[in-house]
Amino acid sequence: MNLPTFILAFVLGIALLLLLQSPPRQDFFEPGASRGGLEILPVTDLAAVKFQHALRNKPFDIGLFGSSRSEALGTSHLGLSEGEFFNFSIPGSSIRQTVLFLEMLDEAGKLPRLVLISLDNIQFQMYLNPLFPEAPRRWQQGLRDLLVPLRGENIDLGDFTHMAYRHVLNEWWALRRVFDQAGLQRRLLCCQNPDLDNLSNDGSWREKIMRSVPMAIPEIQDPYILDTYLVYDLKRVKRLDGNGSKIVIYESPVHPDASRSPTPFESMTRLLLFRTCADLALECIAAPTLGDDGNAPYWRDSGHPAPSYLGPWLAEVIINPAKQRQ
Amino acid sequence: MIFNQPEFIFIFLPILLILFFWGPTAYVRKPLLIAFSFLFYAFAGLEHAIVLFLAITWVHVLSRYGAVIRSGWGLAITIAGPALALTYYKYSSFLLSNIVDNQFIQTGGTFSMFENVLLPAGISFFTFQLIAYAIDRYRGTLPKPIGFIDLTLYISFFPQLVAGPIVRFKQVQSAISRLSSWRPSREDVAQSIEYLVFGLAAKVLIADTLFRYQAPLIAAPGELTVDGSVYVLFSYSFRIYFDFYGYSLIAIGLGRFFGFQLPMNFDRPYSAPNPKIFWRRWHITLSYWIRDYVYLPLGGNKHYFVNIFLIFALCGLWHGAAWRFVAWGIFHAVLVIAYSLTSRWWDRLPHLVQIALSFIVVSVGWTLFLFSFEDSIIFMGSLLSFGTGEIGADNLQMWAMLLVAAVVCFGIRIESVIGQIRQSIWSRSAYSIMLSGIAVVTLVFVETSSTFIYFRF
Repeated sequence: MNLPTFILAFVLGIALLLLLQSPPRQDFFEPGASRGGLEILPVTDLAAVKFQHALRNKPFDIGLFGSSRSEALGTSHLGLSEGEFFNFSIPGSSIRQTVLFLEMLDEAGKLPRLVLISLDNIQFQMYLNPLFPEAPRRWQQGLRDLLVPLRGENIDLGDFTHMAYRHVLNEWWALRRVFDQAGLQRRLLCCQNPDLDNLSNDGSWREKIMRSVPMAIPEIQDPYILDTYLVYDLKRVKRLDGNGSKIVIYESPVHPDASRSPTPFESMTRLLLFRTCADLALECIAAPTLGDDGNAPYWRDSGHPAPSYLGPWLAEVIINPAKQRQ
Repeated sequence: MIFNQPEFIFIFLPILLILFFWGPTAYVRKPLLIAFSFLFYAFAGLEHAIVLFLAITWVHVLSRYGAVIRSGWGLAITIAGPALALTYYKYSSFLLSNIVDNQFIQTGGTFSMFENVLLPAGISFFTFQLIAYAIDRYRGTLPKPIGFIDLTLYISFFPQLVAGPIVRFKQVQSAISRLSSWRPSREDVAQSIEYLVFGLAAKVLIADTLFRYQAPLIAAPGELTVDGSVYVLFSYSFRIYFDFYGYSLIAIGLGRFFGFQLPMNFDRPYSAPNPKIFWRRWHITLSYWIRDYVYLPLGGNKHYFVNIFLIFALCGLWHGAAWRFVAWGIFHAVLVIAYSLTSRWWDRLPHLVQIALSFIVVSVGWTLFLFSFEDSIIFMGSLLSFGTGEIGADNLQMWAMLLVAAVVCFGIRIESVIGQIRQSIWSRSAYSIMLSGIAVVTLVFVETSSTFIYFRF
């Protein structure tokens, strides 16, 4: 074997793989565009696609950012017209991804005028580092997280160690994603089937949420939020608030059966969240109590209210955030 | 940890290679390799690594002193340590369930003490190496005891620790002694990579793909059509070969990085013209181990038939603590004896017919590896069209994969491809590009790869 030729061909092979694994570039949200099967792509691709869509358009009036708990909310649920609203929610993402997403939009001058952030209920908050965007922007984010104690932020040593570990883990996942056969197959087969077009032009998923019977109420576990980094992230949000954009954070609701007995950790973190919001003069709204009347509006599980259920409440928030604040 | 795991390929191996070839560590290469080997092994469970360490220490201490090891009793006590560990972990439940009255088991009794005993990966392999070392000391083949570090490295060296090849100390002695000064040539590095790539590809692209196709068929041996049964019969035969052969190629490749020339374990066994030659080509290091340490001491050819039965039963039992493995061993003993009795006629058959017949009977034997006793009989019923089967092999892709496996198995000798001298720069370049293509495609499928079959032995 000729070793230099092998190494060169191997590197080129990996480069080709990276190219094949990179997110699609089309604008899937133009009216009439075929998005058949876009949901089979990794969620990080969806983030990239939505980001590109924002870059191609003038800033939206209202943008909704969040996870699967807000992904299905569309213009019809909020009483808005198409063109003024876009749903930037990415299933599985946490507040960390949302904040970075907002910063990137801000840098590009595309931050919506009203930014609604669906913060996963503290009870379910995952608080993971984002796999989106691609390196080196992702590495920049990691470096910033690790250098933040040097900038005078009050970061707990345990949180710092945990965050460093998470960034390493995040990079490991990113590397594995490059060699993910199932992901590659999904990318190559993506968007071929118009029958599987479940995305709306406003970025929301069409009614794909199905009620699980009986409704799943997961056992409450301590969320793994790193409190001192949560404060740091809220400060990042605050920096974006006010320069032509209004930011409203709301805690996504959970089914009453699931939220009756919060754990001490959960209560403490929720208290910290709202105290920090108050200190920073950020508009933060606690989760509303939405019951289940057994009729059409329903819960898929204890953390995912149907959009037709959450939508009217959120429409009120858009009109008058202060009225809903607790 | 296993070789086809992303953690091994992207983290463990690169870190080890960097540390190993980093100048300042040249004089601590042995402890470094031992530490990484134990780390590699400890991923399966810390308890298993402790068992390995204790077994090595036991044999080292007792075989150190010539007066002890050169007496029959001394040898017996030296071997007893690792052999007892093997018995406890692998055979305790099997032995007790056969010794104690069946009534006890039928009434729901269990040997709770042994129920949760987890078999340390590769315990049969390193136990055999330790026994070989003790016997070589007893016989005087190794007149001087070797140091604890060297013995530990010889036994625990991670490329061969979990699934062989079963190495003799003399085969790696020089590599261990010159470890601190070992500098691989460009040719060594190239060949190491070639072994690694071909080994991983054999496992990930061929064995695992066959597994994906055959899995739904294996789940219902009584509901197979004849074509489904034929597919299972031959695809499992190829799968177990490429699984184990792939492992052995990777082990050889990894060994070469560190200057170890590990012995070949396969030599195109399915191209063997009869069952006797098959055993000279399949799992070669185990065959030779049994020959040197069991068959010849029992008298070798003097008691041919009895000894063949004994060693093949032992070989079966080595593979697994169940009667079906013993039956598999005896099945092969019958094949070898039958061949010895009929060789005059057998050898006159056309060569291709000999190969085909040998391959078919060996494949029939593997069903005892794949299924329980009862399911083996049910499967044979399906194969001979006694079953009312509904599940068939009607997917063209699965037959195409079987064909690819057959072509590679019968048509290519990978060791010759690796060692081939290519004069023209074009053929060298084309080969290198092809190899890098195989490497990239293999890496893409690594995530879905399953564990090696021989790990459970």
